[in-house]
Amino acid sequence: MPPPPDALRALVAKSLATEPDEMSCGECDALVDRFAEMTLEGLDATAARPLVEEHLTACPECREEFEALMDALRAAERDGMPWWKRWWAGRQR
Amino acid sequence: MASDRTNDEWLAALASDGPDLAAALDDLRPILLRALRVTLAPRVDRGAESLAQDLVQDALLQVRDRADQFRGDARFTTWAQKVSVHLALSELRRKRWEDVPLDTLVAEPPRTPEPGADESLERAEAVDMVRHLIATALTERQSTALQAVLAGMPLVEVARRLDTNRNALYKLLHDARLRLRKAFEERGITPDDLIPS
Repeated sequence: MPPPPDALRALVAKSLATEPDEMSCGECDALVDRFAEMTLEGLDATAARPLVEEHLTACPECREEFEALMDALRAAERDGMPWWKRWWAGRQR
Repeated sequence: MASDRTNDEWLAALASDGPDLAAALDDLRPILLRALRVTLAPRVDRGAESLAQDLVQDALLQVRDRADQFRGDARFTTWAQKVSVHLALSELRRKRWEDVPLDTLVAEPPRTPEPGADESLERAEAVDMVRHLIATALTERQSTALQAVLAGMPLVEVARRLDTNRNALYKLLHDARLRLRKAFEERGITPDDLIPS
């Protein structure tokens, strides 16, 4: 099954943007928990850890894991709120 | 209370045995279960709850076994939820692709003539050229891995088939992209060459 043209086009773009010193999935994984906390705390996680953001942009699987972690942390935050704040947060979504 | 533990207290409790360990695992279980539910619910049509219940014990074991990898810059519970999310998504990815043989995702290279340096590539030629380079400019292992990923197979599953881990596979693919970058630059291939006219 040959790769479809759209996937090839994305590959060409990604290859041409590849740098020798990119962060690996493992390196991203080691930093992404604090990166997620900073994002939730309203801090500029991208400025503090630009290579993490770069990797999350390039790697769809690490991006999916980051987003799922963010969802889990938001759910934990909601569970820790008093009932009226949870009700309000639910209305805001 | 779970929320009152410091990172050091979590680590000490998980490294202990007896009542302290049991209490820590009891506190951790609902936190990991919630992370599993939140991860699985939007991605599984049916049976998300039972899958979450199945995975929570594995998640607890992984968190305990890998606690020495916790760096300490995040909250311990955030790190533990990250481990659970990774476990849940890896399981879903494995299930989705377990019946697809790797060799069905690897194509024969097309026979493509080399274009002249100043010759513009038509789209079909460009597509064939890129496919040709995937097959010839890379090692066989790089080519197989890259084609599987291009077909949509998740890294964790490709890594399992190639008997390696996701980190090593990412490095393999990174090296492959560096080789392709050189090959594309030498031939003047850009993403625009692959846009339908």
